[in-house]
Amino acid sequence: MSANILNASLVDTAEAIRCKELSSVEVVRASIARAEALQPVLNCFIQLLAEEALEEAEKCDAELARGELRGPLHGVPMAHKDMYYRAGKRTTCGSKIRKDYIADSDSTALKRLLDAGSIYLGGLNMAEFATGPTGHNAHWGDNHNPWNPDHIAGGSSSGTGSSVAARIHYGGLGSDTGGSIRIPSSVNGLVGMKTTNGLVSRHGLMPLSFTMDTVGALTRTVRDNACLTAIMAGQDPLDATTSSRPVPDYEAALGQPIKGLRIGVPANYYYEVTTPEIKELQDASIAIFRDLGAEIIEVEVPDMHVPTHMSNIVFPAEAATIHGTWLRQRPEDYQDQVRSRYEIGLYIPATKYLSALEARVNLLRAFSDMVFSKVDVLHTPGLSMAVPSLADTDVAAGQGMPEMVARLSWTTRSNNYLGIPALAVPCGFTADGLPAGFQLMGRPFSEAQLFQLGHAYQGATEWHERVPEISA
Amino acid sequence: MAEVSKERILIDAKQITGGKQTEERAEELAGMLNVLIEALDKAAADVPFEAEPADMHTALDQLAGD
Repeated sequence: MSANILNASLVDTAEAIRCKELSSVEVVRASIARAEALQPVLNCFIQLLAEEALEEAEKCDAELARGELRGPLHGVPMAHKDMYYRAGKRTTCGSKIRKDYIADSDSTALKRLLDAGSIYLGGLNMAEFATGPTGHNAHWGDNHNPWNPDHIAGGSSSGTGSSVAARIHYGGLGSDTGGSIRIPSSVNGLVGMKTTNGLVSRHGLMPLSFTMDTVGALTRTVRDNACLTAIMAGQDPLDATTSSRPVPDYEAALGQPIKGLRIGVPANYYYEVTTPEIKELQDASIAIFRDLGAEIIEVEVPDMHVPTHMSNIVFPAEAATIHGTWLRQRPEDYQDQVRSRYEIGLYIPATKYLSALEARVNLLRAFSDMVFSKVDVLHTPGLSMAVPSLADTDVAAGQGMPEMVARLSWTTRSNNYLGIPALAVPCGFTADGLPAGFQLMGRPFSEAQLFQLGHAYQGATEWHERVPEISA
Repeated sequence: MAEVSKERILIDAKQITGGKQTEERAEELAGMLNVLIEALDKAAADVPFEAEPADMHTALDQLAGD
């Protein structure tokens, strides 16, 4: 174990608690102390439930003393994007409209993590209703990046990104409808998995887009992410869209050699807006994969503007449906930039929305034929630019909002429409000291292979071990 | 030819939101929608429309490659 218990990985911490090298109370106390100290700087938490978490930690330690183990996460504190419901408890969804919302059921993904023994530390800050790639939030305050608080923590899972990177806790839930796990992972130097649509239940998750919302975790290591995904994945009778496929042993895949695996590097689209500095970091990460024995192959990809446009029809149509009553009755309770993104959905003809959904299978097959017939995975930048400042991305009243969203989600948005998985992995730092990352995209349900490659990369690099120097 | 006009947005806005829409914003929304619809019409030109959209889950399963 690391001298600072919060610098250790989630898997190592769980093991240390299980072996009684650490108590759950010790770890939870350290988490709460750091959360409280950094809250004025980072604003990660919407609700920090210190008392409840400590009581649960005491129960975990007592159970362990009796030889009882809840599961692989016994006694480990975790905090999550504040949009995963717990029956009878408050879930704000980062909004004013739901600031006092009490859910009547439990989120399946969260419940599986709690049943595995993790302790609920609190609900994390996020973009209002999970809409926005920066972490600005006028209702609960902006979220800040621990590597430099003047810069964005990304969005919409901003609090999960900044709190895990700041070593307040070890890993937590985000959600991804257009990049909301991968963007905060990239800008905070974390690992984030956008799972295949249908792999993880969305029951009890605040809906934003019925067809494109996905559940996944943000962690510091690929191993931690594989552990959490394995716990959450699998069919759920409460979510009819979940797949009945058996969940692979992700952790077993981690040790497999990557020699001979084919990594595609896109010849078009993905680097169109990438800055030279980010391109250099991507090239360096590709070189490491080559050294590890992977075969690097340049591939043409379909015009990715098309699935991106399609997602820009599907997302607002579904969001406007979900938010229709509130948009009519209390539009002033939304931030302008959030309302403006839903508003367009009110005017999308039903025939066009349905056509965009029908075109999905064709575009997925076309992408699969063109890319995955030649390579196992596609390597792209996680974010096309250095992490921007909060000031530079503070877009009011919708002016310039579509352009800013497009730039930040250039490499991520199409995945949600296509339904395929993508893993964000940190790959270095830009000149201003902020993290950068790459993204590995794979075939549907190929999470095991993405974890295998990401883990091999982290075994050869130390980016994920760097700790932001931040003081309260 | 534009599929959605500023006038269409203003009429719809009156019915949907009670008319809380400026002409300037209606024109902006119409412009954005028409870009998306043009891309959609090209992308959907070869779609047979023979299955319901839930066929996506079947496609994901078939393309898993295992």
